[in-house]
Amino acid sequence: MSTIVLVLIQVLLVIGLSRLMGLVCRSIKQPLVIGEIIAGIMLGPSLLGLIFPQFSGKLFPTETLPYLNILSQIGLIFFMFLIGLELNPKYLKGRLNIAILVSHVSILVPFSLGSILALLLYPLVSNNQVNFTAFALFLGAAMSITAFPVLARIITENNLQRTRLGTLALTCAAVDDVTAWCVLAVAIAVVRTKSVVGAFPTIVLSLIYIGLMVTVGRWLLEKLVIHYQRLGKLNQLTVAVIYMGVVISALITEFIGIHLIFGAFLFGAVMPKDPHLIKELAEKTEDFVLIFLLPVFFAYSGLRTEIGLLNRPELWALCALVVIVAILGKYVGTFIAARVSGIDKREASALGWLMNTRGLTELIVLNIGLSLGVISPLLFTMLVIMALVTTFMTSPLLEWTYPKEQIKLNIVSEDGSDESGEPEVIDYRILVPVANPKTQKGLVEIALAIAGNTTSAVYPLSLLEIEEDYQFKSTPDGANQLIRNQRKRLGELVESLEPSHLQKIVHPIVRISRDVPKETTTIAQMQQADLILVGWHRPAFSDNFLGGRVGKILNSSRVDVAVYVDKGFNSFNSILVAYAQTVHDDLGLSLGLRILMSHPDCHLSVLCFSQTESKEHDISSEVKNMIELLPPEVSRRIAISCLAVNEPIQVVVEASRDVDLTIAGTSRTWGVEKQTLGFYTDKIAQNSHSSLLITRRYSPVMSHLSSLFNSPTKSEVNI
Amino acid sequence: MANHRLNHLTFYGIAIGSVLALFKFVSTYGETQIKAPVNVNGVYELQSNNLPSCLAGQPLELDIEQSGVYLFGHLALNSDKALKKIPLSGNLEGNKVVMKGDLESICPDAKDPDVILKGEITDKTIVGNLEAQALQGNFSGTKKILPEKETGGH
Repeated sequence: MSTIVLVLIQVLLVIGLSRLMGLVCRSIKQPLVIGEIIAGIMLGPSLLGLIFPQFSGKLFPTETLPYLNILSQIGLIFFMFLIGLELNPKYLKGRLNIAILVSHVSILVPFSLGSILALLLYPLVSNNQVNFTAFALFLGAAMSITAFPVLARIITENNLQRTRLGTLALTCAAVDDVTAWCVLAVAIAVVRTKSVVGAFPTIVLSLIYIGLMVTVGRWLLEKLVIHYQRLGKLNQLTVAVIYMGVVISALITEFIGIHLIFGAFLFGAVMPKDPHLIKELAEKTEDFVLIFLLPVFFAYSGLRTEIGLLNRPELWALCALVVIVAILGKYVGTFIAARVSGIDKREASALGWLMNTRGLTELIVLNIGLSLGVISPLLFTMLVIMALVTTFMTSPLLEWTYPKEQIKLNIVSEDGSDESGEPEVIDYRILVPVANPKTQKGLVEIALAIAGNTTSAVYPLSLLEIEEDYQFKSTPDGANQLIRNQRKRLGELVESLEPSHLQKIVHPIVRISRDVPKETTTIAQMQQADLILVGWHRPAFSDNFLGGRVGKILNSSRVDVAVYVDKGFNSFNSILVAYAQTVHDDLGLSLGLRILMSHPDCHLSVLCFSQTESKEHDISSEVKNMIELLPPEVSRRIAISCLAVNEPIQVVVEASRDVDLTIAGTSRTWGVEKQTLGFYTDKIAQNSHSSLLITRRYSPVMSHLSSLFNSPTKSEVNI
Repeated sequence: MANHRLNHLTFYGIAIGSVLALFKFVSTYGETQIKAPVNVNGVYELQSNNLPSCLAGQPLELDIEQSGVYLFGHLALNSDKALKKIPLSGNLEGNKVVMKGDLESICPDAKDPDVILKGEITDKTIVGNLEAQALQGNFSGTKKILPEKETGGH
């Protein structure tokens, strides 16, 4: 088989396995990068080579490795350019003093511990061809790394980008990134010249080049940005010029004697941060680099990682020591510096875990170290394990030390239009997941109708899903752009709502999310919502009309839920409640009564169904009591009639012809088993002539009417 | 404000200075007091005698992948195109190599699959003996000169 065919088969396998492992990691809420690193390791001698050595030898023969190396290096150059591109100087503006202190201490402590650890490791895992100073510098640098790109994605995923913690962590990581690359550049210079003194010319030349890039380079790039702004789009010529700039810059740093990646990173970092240009350029570059080239880098690293080398307990003990020193150095350094800067324990701890993320950046450093021969294959493997462990532990430990409820408390309001601005006393809260503000006005309007007064609050919730880990839109900047756009659309929706005096009770929430149903129920609990009101939609791959996300919310919510099927009626002058004596129907009736009380022209008909003929109204005693408490001008607009029929669905469907809104609980009468909405409810949803509200009660003690009676507590009236 | 800035600068001065001093001490101590093992990395072509029949009469290649005092590698028949190898791992003490492995991949009929390779490396040569299946054979070999390995991005 020719080499090119073999390399292409390798790439095919690498991309496929990377995506697969990425999906697995996503399902356990881990960053994609862990899946990609593991995929690389699986293809190498640690798994494939161990189980099928001959097949592995034929699939990845030595003669193809240089080609994989070249592909991975090109990928790395453009990935570093992307990292530089997203390193926005504005990250360095907020709380810079604290950030510089924290980030420097979080480098100095692990660096010191790393160099002390070098005293132990050098005689064990190095050889006399390696200079001790270079070894110690490399180990120190490897311990000090924080993976800015991975950290930025973890921050975005956890919606921390606008919190004190998030902005501080981003600033620290940005400072850390720049400092750690400088340390690495010095380490490489020392390795190549074999002495600290010999490295001085390289260091001086590097400083001159950085100076030139920050001044002349940036000036030239500003001209390019002006050209882009005049054109209004990024044409291929401009992209070609930029890519040539990246490669030239990479070559210059290589000739200076540091490494290709620094030039690419520097070029991205000095690029003027015109948001449109950055977005367009990142989107043009990232797909091929992230999907095609970067997995090759992981595979190349994986082929060099041999977990089998750790074949003795003493080596695992050494590996554990490396991991412990790395974690202690980073976490303790960050924690102490943050505490000294006046940050509370919880935030300082969360910051420590965030800064402990090493991920992909560590892998870049390690590959350089292994290629230069400064670290041995055994130490390389130990440090890869360290990178995996520190990245893997970040998300769960962050969640543990800094639960999502805390995130809400620490939101830094950008323009006051979001989570801020709520009245002090809110006695009824409705959470309304809104996927598309343009088409779901009716949903928010019925929420307003149920809310009814100014002491209630309606939270239109827009959860933005980000599929990929490294994409520009998953960076804090990219995510903030998405959030701003969505908030603008929600703002337009709020301004168009009727009645206008209730617009002020609408407080949109926009968040990044990976699991919309779960996040919805979590936010409902965080916001202490009394009701989640979701819009009905037809799932693409299911016959169940209330399946998909709506079904998931219904099944997992710990809050009462109502599903609104909008048939285009904007007024609520006549409401029909189909009542079948279950708690879900009680909820439906309560919501109907809420609308009735706030709409003086509205009339409510209650169709009460039972299996036997009964002259008594089969309405629960609590509801009866509540109706009796209603003011006469409200209660006189209620009509209750009871029927004993075998086909209640047909009766409801027929009755829905004469009303604006039909409300039905999720009960067996409609064919609903337990909490699952099924075929029969779908049938009502399909055939109802009016808009439909399907209710499912979670809490049997929750009152949806007490707030309208100015009751001091919700538990006093149980409906 | 100026005082605050001075405090910060003093703190950074002391912190960075201390780390540099620590690093200077560590590197000086490391360079002068700590000796790393000799470099024995490489592929050695062995000539041997008195080896088990499955290994005898053919040139052997010993590939040592060194990580400090920990040695990993394999012994392979030079003529074997099927890439069958005897995986080895062991230690380096001074310039003495002790590596153990399992013959099974090359000598599937071996009753006792253990193989022990002991050798002494001087400059680019290795001399030692190989114990396998109750036989003890001597060997000597020289390091193969391989083309410079590709280094990342260079």
